[in-house]
Amino acid sequence: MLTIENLRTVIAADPPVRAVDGVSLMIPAGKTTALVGESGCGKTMLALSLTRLFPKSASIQSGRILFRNRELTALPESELRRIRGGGIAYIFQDPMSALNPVLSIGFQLQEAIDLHRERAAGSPPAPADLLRQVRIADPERRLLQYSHQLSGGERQRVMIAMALAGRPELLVADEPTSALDVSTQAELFDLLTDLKSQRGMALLLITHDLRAVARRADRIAVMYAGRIVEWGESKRVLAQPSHPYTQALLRCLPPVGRGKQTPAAIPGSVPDLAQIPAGCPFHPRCPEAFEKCRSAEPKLRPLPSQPTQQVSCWARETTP
Amino acid sequence: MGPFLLRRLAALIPTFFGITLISFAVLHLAPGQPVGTMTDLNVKVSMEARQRRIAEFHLDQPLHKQYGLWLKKTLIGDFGDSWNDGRPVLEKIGEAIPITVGINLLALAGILGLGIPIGLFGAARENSGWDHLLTGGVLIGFALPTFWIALLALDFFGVRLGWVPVSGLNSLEADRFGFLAFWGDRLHHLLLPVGVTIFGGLAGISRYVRSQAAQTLRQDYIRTARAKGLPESRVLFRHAFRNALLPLITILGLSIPGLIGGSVILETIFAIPGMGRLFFDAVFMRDQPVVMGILILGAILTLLGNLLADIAYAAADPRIRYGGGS
Repeated sequence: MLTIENLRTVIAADPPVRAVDGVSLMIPAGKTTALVGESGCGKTMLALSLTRLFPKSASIQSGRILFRNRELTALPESELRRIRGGGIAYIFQDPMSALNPVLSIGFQLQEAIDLHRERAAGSPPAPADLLRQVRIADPERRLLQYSHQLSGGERQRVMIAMALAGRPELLVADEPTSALDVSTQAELFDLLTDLKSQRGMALLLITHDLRAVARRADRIAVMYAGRIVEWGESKRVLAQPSHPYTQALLRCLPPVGRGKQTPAAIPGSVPDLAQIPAGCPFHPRCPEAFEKCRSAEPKLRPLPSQPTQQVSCWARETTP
Repeated sequence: MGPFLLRRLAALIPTFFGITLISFAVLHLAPGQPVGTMTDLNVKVSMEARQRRIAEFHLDQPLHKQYGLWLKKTLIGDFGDSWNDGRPVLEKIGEAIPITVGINLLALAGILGLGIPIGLFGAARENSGWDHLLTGGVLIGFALPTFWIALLALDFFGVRLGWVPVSGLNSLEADRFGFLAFWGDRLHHLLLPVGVTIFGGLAGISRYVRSQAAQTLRQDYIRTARAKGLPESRVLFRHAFRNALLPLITILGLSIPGLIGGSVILETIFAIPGMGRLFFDAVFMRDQPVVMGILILGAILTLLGNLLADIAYAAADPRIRYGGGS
């Protein structure tokens, strides 16, 4: 449904920051794709690049984004605006600051409904119904309130309701629960998954919390230094991670229950996106790195043993 | 809102008395006798007459008694007569205040009418050529001393080009004009002083608005508004500028007392009989009733301005209206 081909997004600076560096990714309709990786690996910039919501200093240098048979990178701002909210909707990390503090919840919802009123068939949704769908109690009263009168979880639900107003085909949730407590996190993930199935929309779930997506995602894409390093069905990626970075990420998780393993940190730190190491960007931290990794960059290729799982690693390529 | 208002009003009372006490004391610390201007320069005034004046003004009493006497009269609304020409203080202020307030209101309208759009434009097109040109231009008005701009403008527009009159509020023959012609003539005379005041005040407002708006545009909820698919104009006007202009309410509230305080320099240069000149002259004459009258008026307006700003804030920002916090 959404296909990204070799996308490069650069933030103007000295030296330029290559936040998204040659990403190719397919997001299938009606499925949940999880985009995981450490902070600062370019996840958010990739998501914002889809509809060019990034700051003015950023720009798409090359690549294509195909959505509804249209090439989004070539669309002018005025047409891209219809895609925003109506085709691809977003919810962001911090619901406290993501809602306008001086406009009522009802106003902000109605605004989103009105914007996409003429596009979709059928009668437009009522603001209170949207709040009911995201399981907010007493929706009529909430409509008259302001964001500071809501709890963190309620604010994020309002954000989701606002995103649903445009009846999008893809919902991008950028770290939707990082600012919330653990029990609220689970509720919100369940809500998002339910809404996805009810409405048949695709969900792009951006997170650094592999455990949170483990049960809920259909596909997992692992991002490192502006690139996708591994992509595949989530069960397989979690059970048999192939890329050394994915393996390291999974070792970082504290074991649940009686496990005797202690979580292991990944040595080194995330590279500065303005100074990405030559060759494979992960080689300075990689336990399996050899000579070739320092000089040439591997490409995302299907694993010989498991063609649905793709990985970019020289150590996994069968050299004839 | 009711208790909020009462609390604020009650807090104003001690502040008000503090202001009167300090003003009164400072005025008496200044060297020179109020009766001096009437007696020292006039050889015909006898020592007895001088003593009579001192007794009449209660200047022979200790300071706290003088303050008590003054307060008693003032609290019943009696501001007294000028010690200089014997005319009631309220009458003198009443003549000067419409002139100064009129000029200041015109100038404030001009400053807001030009400064806010310049600031908002600068924020929306941050670091563009126009932004640099406008913000740089208004900075000139801020950096140059007002009296110098006033003199240059007077020479250029008044003398060389002859577009505007150079002094006073009206032409000499204005008494014979009809209503429209009279006020047209008045506006013509005010063009220069108001214009100079606007030019000097533009930088403060426009740069303030620009920085506020630029900061607001970086907020997360602006990205949310864009992510909804709102056109840029609605993102700016509905989501960004309303938040950006909130702090302006404080500035406007604080500028209310400034409305009655005329600029001594500008009123002198343009020969305008406003509050600035009245206060300046009264201080030099040690004309206590006039000085205190103007100070009290200023104090009341300052306090009211603060109160109005608080109320306006509460009306504009729901977080304050409802007592804040979730």
